[in-house]
Amino acid sequence: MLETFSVEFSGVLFVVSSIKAKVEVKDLTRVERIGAHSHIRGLGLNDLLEARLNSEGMVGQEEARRAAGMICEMIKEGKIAGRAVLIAGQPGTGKTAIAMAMAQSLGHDTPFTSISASEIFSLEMSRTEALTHAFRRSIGVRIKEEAEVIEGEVVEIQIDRPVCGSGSKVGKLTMKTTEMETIYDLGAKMIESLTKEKVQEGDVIHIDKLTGRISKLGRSFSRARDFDATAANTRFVSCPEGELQKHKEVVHTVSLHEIDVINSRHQGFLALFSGETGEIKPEVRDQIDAKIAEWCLEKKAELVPGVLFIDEVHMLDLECFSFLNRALENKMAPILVMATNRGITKVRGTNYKSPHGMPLDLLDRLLIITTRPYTNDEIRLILSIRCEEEDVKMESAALDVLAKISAETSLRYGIQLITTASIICYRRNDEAVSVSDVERVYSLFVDEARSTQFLREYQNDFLGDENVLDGDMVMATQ
Amino acid sequence: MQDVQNQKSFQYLYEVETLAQDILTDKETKLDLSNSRNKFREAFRALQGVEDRRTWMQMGSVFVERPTEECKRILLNEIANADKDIEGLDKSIKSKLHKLRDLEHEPRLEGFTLNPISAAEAKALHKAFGAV
Repeated sequence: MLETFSVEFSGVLFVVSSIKAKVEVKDLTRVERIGAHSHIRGLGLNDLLEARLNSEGMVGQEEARRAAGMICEMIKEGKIAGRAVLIAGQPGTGKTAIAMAMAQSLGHDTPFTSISASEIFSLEMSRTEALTHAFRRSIGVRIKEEAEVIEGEVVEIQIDRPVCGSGSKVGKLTMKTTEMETIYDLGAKMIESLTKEKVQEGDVIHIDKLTGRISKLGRSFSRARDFDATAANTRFVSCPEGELQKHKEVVHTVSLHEIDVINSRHQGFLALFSGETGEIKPEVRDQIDAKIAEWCLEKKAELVPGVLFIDEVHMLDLECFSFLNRALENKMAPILVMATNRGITKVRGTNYKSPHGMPLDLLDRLLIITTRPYTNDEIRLILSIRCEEEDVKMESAALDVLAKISAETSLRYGIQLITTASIICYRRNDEAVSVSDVERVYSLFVDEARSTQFLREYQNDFLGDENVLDGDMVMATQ
Repeated sequence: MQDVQNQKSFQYLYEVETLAQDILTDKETKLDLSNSRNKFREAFRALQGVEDRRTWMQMGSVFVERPTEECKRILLNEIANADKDIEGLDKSIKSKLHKLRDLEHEPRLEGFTLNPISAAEAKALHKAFGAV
């Protein structure tokens, strides 16, 4: 998936008494990983980087948010490229939420890639290759393209064929904008392009001065008639404003990964026969790195180090961790933000225990942010924000009950109950969710603790291993 | 205390409004220059096909008759001057706009201070990524 976006700067628009630039930001794809965090708009910090109690969708967790805010500031100033941060805490304490908030607060400019550690395990690609893809996807390159263009509405096209057959055609093209109108003389090549594009009077066209390429932007509104027979894909646009001949500058931001893919694709003619492995050769990557470095020296390109967020990082095994160690040393490394909810557990694939399931040498390089469990008031606030986000009206008493349930079981379970309770309420033809709805839904859907209890009592009736010991049932979530 | 705050607000408004007015004036000037450039170009093209040895030119309210070659040279000169002025205005509008965005606490537009990539590289990029 391409993740490019471009910003255009082509003149100035006057709006009331202030000036706005004609800036168009097209964000082509931005993958949102979890819908459960769609209510988060930012970290909710004030100017002194202190966390407000309830702001921009974030509630509580002041210390962790403050730390995350400081890291965002450092990222914006470009100061900590190639460092790593770990957000650790019990399940349901807002780790992924903080990462999402960091992504929002860094803005559109900074590439933010969010993956889960288990995504890198696949048959098609080796783990290091998948990690390299993720790393390269989080580093952006900014380049600027400029062109002289003539943009305007065609008033009249006049083409004269020569009297004797051997001469070349000559013509005149009258173009206008809202502010001016002028006549251009046409040479043979331009006449050819015009006839090829089937440009007519009333079309709004765009001519690139250097290449002579003509593209139609649409038809002008002023020429639209009810009785027109237009093609299905005809667009109507307004007459362009300002000068006819403009100097256009477009800034593109692409990620290194996309450049890798495109370069390896073109060289891959033989890959058709050898079978596309999906792995990009390191030589291709080195060439690309060298070229980008050259462009950076010539000030033709800018590196935009972004953020790579790896969730559930305890699922990575030892080889991946050593790869991460090495990758962080690279001078073109993004900031690595990791999240885990494991305590002291075995590193995956080995038998030795380590804090957070990560080897000590990697832990040494990290800045660790811890999150603590929410208080009852904070839980209530979060639930009310989610209710708003999911468009569910809830009575105050019902919200209190739900908050109490969440405090005893888990926050996620409470959030799940919101929409389910709203369905029961809807069935009752009522507007707001009441306590009875919440109780009903609580009895219908059991949470983890009750489920475990239920299994303990009836485990002999379940299919599966006969001699299942109690300890194996309950996975270490601490 | 109130007075100091009011003063500060006035100062801020003054800065923003003068900058905005400057940008508007520049934009108007650019428009006029562009217009006149077009007219010069049309005149030059018209002179290309002319057979007479001398041509009449109107400068303001004065009519002047000069050899056609000299008229063409004058016109080309004027076109080049207009080009230069428009370029200068472009640059000044750009810098003022960045400053205005800064003053109005809007996020910075990054990347416009870079050197542009060449036409060949741009073409290759567009071909590789498809139309963006």
